[in-house]
Amino acid sequence: MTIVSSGALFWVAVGILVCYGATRLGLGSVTEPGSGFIFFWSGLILAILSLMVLVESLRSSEEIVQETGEMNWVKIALVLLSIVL
Amino acid sequence: MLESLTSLAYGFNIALQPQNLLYCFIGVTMGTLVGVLPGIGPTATIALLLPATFKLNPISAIIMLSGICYGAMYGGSTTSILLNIPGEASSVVTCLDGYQMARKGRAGPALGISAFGSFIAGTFSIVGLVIFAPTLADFALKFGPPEYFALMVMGLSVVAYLARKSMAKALMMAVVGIVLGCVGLDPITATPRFTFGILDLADGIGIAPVVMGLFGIAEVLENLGVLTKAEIFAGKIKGLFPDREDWRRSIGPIARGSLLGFFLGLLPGVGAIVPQFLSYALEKKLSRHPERFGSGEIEGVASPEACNNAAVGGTFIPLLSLGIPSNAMTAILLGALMIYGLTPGPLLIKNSPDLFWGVIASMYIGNIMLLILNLPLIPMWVSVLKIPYSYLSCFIILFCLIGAYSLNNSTTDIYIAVIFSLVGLLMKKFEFEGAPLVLAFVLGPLLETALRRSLILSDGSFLIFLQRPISAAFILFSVVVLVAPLFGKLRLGRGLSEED
Repeated sequence: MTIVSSGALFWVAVGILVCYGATRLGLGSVTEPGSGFIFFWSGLILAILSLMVLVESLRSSEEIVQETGEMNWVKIALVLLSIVL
Repeated sequence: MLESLTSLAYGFNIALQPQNLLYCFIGVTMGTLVGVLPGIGPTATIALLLPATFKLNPISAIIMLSGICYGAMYGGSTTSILLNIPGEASSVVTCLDGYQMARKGRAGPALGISAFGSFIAGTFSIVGLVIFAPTLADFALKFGPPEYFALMVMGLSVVAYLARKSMAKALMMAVVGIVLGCVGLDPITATPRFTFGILDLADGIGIAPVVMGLFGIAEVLENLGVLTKAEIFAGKIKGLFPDREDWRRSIGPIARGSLLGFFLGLLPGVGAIVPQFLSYALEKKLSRHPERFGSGEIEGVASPEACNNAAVGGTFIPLLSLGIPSNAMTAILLGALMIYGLTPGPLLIKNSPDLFWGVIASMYIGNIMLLILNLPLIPMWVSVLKIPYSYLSCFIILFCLIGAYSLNNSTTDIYIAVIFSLVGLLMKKFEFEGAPLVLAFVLGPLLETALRRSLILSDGSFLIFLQRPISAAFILFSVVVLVAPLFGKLRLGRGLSEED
């Protein structure tokens, strides 16, 4: 499980959650689309696209993410924390 | 045509009012400043200044905000040439030959030609704007919801197609943007959607905090990790005016760059970055000495610089005449127009001619101001770069937070900005692009309304998008753009990223 595929899995989950939320809002009918209509389709497309990315990342064994410079996560966390507090 | 000229004269009348002149000046100066500073781009700056403009009348506000758009194009080239660091994403190409020219001691002519090239292209694109925008708006009056829906789908597809990295990821971001954009009350039935009981979310997520997070704070956070010390070009810059030989070699590239940038900028979804790469490639192809490109050829500076300025003018056309933004920058301007209570769309020119013509006239004036600002004052802009990044980053974060807060005076917006800064950081790390997200975020609600209206119109038949010729053409184009990369190496964006 690479970091890319776990990221893709995350977006699949988001897509499915959006779909679920949309069905609760009510899809309406095609003649009269309801509140959840566009959310449902967006969520579905998102899930499908992220599945594509997932499959792609699983098929290629090598890690696709290039190291974009080591990030200073401690510093970043400190800054964010100080903003929120 | 004559009508356009009288309207333009009227526009100058408005733009030359002292107050508007002042805001135009502030806009272009800010634009140049953020153009010079690598840490912050025009997109974030517009979002930043947005709350400050609410007390102004909409005309002055839009004049100032659009000043930032084209001002940044001028400023970006300065850092590209002197430091080999693109001040903006849209002046990446200028680094290639511009910095080499500076190393050969020809920084002056490089800066000069990019300023003059920008000026010529900027003026050209404004003329184009005057001619095309009203015509397009008249044409767009025929557009119904299906046409708008198809046009927006096309815009989003083009953005995804031009993605530098993975197209699937860009599309994902676009869809996420639509979802985020539609959070809030249902425009037709007023049911709260995905608000999780948070009252502030009922109005939808604001564009300002999202952009502040994605483009402002995230950028600072990213730079926290990697501290690069910029090496400032120490030599004295002299001879800003290109000589006759330089002009002879540059005039063709400037003309071609202007045309290319303007017409590509017209297409929704293209923006100012891609045309620039294309213009560089074009000059390289046309040149008798393509191998010399990259070693300080003046053509390689003139053409892309002209191109990115012309493209900015081009992107204003779909924005002002159709109400469709074509990149993240114009997306925020669209958001601004809506906040001021103006309805962007084909009726904008007719309903508020003072805004449309005033802004256009101010762009003429702004371009002249920029030429004056940029040529003699270059040493001043360079000295701005000597401000240590640690001070600068504090200010950027502080202003972003103030900007996010002051829009609605709500702390929720600050949290939104912080969350999106983290999202933006992760997106950068995993090579997702922010532009499709922001564009879709702004287009989301418009897209939804257009889709639902068309479906109601057609009694639930999706065929309506194909039965109307204009929307059918848009849909066809988006399908081609989305499917083409599956067959063969027809990916423009990827080719671009390999080239640099």
